[in-house]
Amino acid sequence: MLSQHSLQALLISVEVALGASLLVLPPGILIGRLLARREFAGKGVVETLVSLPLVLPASAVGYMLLSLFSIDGPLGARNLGFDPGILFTIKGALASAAVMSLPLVARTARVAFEGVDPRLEGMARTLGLGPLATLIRVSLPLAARGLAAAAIMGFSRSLGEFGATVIVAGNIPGRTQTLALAIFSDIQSGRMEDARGLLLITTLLAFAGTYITEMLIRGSSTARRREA
Amino acid sequence: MPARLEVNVTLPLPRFRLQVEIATDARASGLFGHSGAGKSTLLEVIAGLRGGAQGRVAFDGEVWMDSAAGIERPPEQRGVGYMPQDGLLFPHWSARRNILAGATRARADGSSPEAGHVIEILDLEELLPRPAGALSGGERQRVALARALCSGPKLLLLDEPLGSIQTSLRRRILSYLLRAREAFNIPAIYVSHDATDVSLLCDAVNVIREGRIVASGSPPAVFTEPAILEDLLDGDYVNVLEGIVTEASDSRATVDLGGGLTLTIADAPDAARGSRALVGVKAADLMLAAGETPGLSARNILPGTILRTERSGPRVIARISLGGRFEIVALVTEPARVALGLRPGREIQVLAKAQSLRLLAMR
Amino acid sequence: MRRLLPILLLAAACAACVDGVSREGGGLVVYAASSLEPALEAGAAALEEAAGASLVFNFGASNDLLRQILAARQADIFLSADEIQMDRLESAGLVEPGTRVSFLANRLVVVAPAGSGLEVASAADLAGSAIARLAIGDPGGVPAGRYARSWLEREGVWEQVAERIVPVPDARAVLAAVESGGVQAGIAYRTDAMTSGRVAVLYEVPAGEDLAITYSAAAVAGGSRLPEAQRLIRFLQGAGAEKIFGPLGFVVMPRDTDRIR
Repeated sequence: MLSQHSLQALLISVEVALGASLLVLPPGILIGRLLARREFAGKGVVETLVSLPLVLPASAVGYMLLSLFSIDGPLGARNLGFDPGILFTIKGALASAAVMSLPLVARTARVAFEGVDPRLEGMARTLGLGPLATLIRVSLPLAARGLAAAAIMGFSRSLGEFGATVIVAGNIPGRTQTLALAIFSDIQSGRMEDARGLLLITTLLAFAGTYITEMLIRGSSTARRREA
Repeated sequence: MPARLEVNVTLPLPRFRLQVEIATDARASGLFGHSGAGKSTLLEVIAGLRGGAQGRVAFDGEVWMDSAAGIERPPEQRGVGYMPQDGLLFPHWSARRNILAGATRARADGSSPEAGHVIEILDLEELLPRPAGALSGGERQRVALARALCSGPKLLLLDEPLGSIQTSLRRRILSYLLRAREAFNIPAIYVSHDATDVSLLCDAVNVIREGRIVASGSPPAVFTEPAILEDLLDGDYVNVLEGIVTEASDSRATVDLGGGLTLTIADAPDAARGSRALVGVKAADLMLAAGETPGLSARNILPGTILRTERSGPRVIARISLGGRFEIVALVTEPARVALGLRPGREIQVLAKAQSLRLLAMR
Repeated sequence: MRRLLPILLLAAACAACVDGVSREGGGLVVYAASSLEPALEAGAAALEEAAGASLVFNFGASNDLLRQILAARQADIFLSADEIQMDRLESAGLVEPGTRVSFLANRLVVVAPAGSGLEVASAADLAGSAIARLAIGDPGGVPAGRYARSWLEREGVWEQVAERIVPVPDARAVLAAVESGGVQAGIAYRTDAMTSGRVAVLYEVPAGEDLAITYSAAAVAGGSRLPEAQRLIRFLQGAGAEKIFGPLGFVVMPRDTDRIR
């Protein structure tokens, strides 16, 4: 049914998209919360930095990451004392996808938190909940729908990620060639039929991801209502 | 040993500067003023929810805030039970989970009201499983109160606990507040724009106007100060009398104030025989008579003695001792004062229509 | 809304100012392979003088440029990094007859990070254990990649080397990959290798009949400035072009070695 080529691309895409979403969600949520709630000197700088992967061409971000992880780079083997194994491996694809989807995840998370009445958080504090407990027991549940949207954002963006990935991880079939990269290769080589097949698979995967996330959120809120 | 609250803070606000100095060990302390006077903001500062204030806040020997020393204790470490104006229940939780939200701190303290007891006192048993969004305004207030009580608070801060609820409900909530006050005896600050509520709930009151305290003392003393009284005379029930309901039928009630004084109230549908009742009457609704007055429709005619009179603009405030038991305030015109010869010591009759008496609370 | 209107007007005005790369502008529109960018930008003045017209450049991968020409017909001249793209343009009937020439030759080189100590004396060495990963342009698409693959196939080592291949979008990416140390070696054009101080050329692939990396130039049919285009193409094959392209590592092919098709 699925050619080996397609199956490989699918498996790699699932691994990359899932991994990148999980990787980017915690920092995305924390950054979103920070930007939603706090005013501080340099907030504009943080906002701009977080938006960079969205604003710059993906290949530019790719080159920056390549520099970052190059042997002599700040996160390279020479400085770290060991090889982080990012360049031209699936980890690199994961890292690229995570970085490229961070702005969208952080932005969506920010809006989610802005929708939570900050007075509720203050109320939780007066009841004895510290900042972390407040975040976990009040802010996160109340922002859950929006955060689910952020997760879907992260997943979808990671699925479609291309420009940075080819630079950092290369387009290695069976190792780093995601569905997006495979589609590109097929188009470049004129294999339009194959490209269309992969496009269909990608679409189905995107649907699946969105559907599952929605179900998870709906499930948890129903459970909450039942228990209450 | 009563716990002492010391507040000495300054905070610039959009329309004026909040500049307040309070030192009290009253069990139930009131903060009275019109809306926008800064009362709610002050509560937020005490609770630790409003930053930017300069000064000092200390309770029971603990310094919660001292801007000079750079101390700012986070809200969760102050042990405050906060009940804001709109209740502010957690929408994603049931009434039960809301009430128990602060329970962990309560357990750690060991000295606070037990949750089951609070739920009983406030009649919340049936509401427990309901989601916060499915509660009415009055029910929300009660749950919010319960939540504050169950969080092991050292100090309760209640912002307009009777807020914008309609009259019949107000009575119920007020009763609950009084019940809670009696049962748990936790030091509390009540913010209210209603002098009657403050009189009922508080031992001491601070009147705040445009961010500054303009009067301090016991409610009867403060609310009869001419400057304050001026504001209250038209709206509030400045006279509060306490007695026992001896008769209740047909939505009428008779209240025995003791010493031979009784009141007849026309509209008191939920009066219950034998219960303690607080009855309010406005200063403007009292009529004074120089001698016996037969053939009047007024059902309430009580003997009183003028203590003193004060001019307040075009009006005269007459302070009267009612049968030697209660001090009340009546409003008359200057010509009336002259005509009746109202001077200290003069014996008069105090008249009130049964319609103008209001049953404020039951116990 | 009131605040939005001036912004919209400003945006519209800016859009109108930007000429875009189109034939409606005053100059010759030249679509050129990315590897020619440094040379063409540096020599723009001389080129404009030779052509007798101002030049507007659009740089990109040759296969992408071909697609753009086919889609939008905005180019006056096409400078492709290989003959295949030009063949395709010809089959589409879009090459002005008599204007096609091969004007530059390039070489493939094997590069490694500077100071790596790696030695490559032949294609077979690329199959050695020292090279875990080898970056080349995408063999399915970009000319640089295709040339690399052709060479390795011709040398009979493609099968062995295939699983170490890291395909990247273009020659620039090959160099970046090598500079980063993420790959032990890469195959790129000599002209590209010369632009980077952080890579060392280990081996120059000998030019052969079947591995001629030649750049093709032609005027695109339907252009409005044929005389200027022809002048430019003639210039590209003369001494003036040698001054522009030579120092960067290109080999200028003089007029009499034209492969006129």
